[in-house]
Amino acid sequence: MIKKSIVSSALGIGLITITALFLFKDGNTNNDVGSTSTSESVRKSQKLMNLIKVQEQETTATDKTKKEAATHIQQPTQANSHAVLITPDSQVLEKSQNFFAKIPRIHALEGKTNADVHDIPAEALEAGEYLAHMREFFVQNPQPLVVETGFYLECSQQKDFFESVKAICAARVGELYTKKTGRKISPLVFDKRTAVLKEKITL
Amino acid sequence: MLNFNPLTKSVLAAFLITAVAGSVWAGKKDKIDPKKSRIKFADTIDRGQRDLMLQDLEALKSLSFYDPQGKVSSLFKVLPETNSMQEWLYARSKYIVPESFKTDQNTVKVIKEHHIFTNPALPTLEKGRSVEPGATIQVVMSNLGAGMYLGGKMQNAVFALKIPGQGEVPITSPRAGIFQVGAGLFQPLLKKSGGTSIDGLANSLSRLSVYFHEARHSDGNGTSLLFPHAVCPEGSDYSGYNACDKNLNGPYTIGAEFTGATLHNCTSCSEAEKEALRNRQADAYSRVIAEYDLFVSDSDRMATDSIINSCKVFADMGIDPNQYDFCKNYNTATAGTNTKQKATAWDDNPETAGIND
Repeated sequence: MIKKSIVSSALGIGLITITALFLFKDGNTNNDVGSTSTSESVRKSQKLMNLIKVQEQETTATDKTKKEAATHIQQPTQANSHAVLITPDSQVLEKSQNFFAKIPRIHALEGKTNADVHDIPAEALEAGEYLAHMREFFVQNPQPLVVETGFYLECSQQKDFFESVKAICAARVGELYTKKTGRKISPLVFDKRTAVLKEKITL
Repeated sequence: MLNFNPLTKSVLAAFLITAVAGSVWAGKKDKIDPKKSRIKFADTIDRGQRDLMLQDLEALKSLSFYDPQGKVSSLFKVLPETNSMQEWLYARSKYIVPESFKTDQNTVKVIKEHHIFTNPALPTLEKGRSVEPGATIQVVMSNLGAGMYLGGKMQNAVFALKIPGQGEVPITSPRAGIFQVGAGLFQPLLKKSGGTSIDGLANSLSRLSVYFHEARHSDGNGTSLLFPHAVCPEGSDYSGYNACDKNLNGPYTIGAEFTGATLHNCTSCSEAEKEALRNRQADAYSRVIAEYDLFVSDSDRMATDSIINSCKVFADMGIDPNQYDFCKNYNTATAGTNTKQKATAWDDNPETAGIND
């Protein structure tokens, strides 16, 4: 029981960490998103929640307040280090684990012929189905922004996912980012092909 | 045990008979008459597949097309509205034959030999991964008519195809519109979960994008004839496969744009179905090669160098090299250098063999 909750928390922190990393890498070259230590994850997730709070304040704050808020975000204090650490609920974690464990990846195309891949192959269609069900879940069960964004961001960064899946995930990240910040997400968050493809998808 | 009086029994019996008759009549009424379809089906086609396709064509009649940036109208060269898009499809798709249909001495007739085609130029057919001996190929859909037109042209011959129940169809242009369908076309969008019926609108839209993709293969002339696919480059999921397009208006773009323009019609579709359609759209777009290397091998470079040098000779002699198809692609290239080529829209006007039908 204790092990399960530790694993759940670790996975939740992982999702939040990834979301925090992407929000802070605007304008930087794209790096691999990997796992981090728990303490670093907590620190980064605090930065993330502060950033979201600041951006909410920015919509109504004066210039002076904006500067103060910006300064505030640079150095989160010890006092608020326990603020709003969001852990995805168990249902989200379970679905997310299942998704990443079972979704077909591009090596499933090994041995295929030209005719097999002329139209979207069954493996890519199936991968899309996994993504489709996650979309249905998120629409029917609204989650905190950071949770949904964290899922789609992690999906968009998987090197061996089908391009179509990565692109849709990237498009969803962009949609959520714009919804929250009012700005367009930097294409540098994604690899070049994903960044180009995501712009063509009809959301 | 219930014990009804004779009057009640009579009323119940009449009700049951009416209900059964009514449902049979309703079932018949819902089936679309294939004789009224603009696309004709071979007699040998599977009835279930035929009826699904008829439903898809029926669904097409009530689709609206969302085209805020004018991409659909510039790509299809018609107004992005129902009638025009239907006509676009029917101009390129006329007959459906089943997967079991074989092109052999029983079905293929040579209607002209030693024919000089009006436009002798041929498209480049890139080879991708070949079929392993004994491999099972699942047919989705193919433009048989266009393939036979090109096959005939390569042999200076014009063919006709005997379609069961439809007679002899001459193939005097890629617009013969003979499509072959297979079981692969009728895979549901959401297969594992069984969350969507095979004949729901989402599945119709999915299949219609394939019809439009194949219909594009009915276009083109000379080097753009059939809009043949290209080998996918390094970095693509389909690298090495002949499953991409080196143009901006080819079959994959057509299918993707169709899906994008019609997705809003899916008001009765689930979120999962819509996302699955987006996956299809994204897969198709991923096949469009926006920029490619002009030379894929040393021998390719050498052959291209000689073409470039020939075209320069024309220019030096005051002859416009652009009147020759094989010069058009190379007018900005320099022999001996590795050059990136940006994909363009190909000429989609269909050629004809130049004989009477």
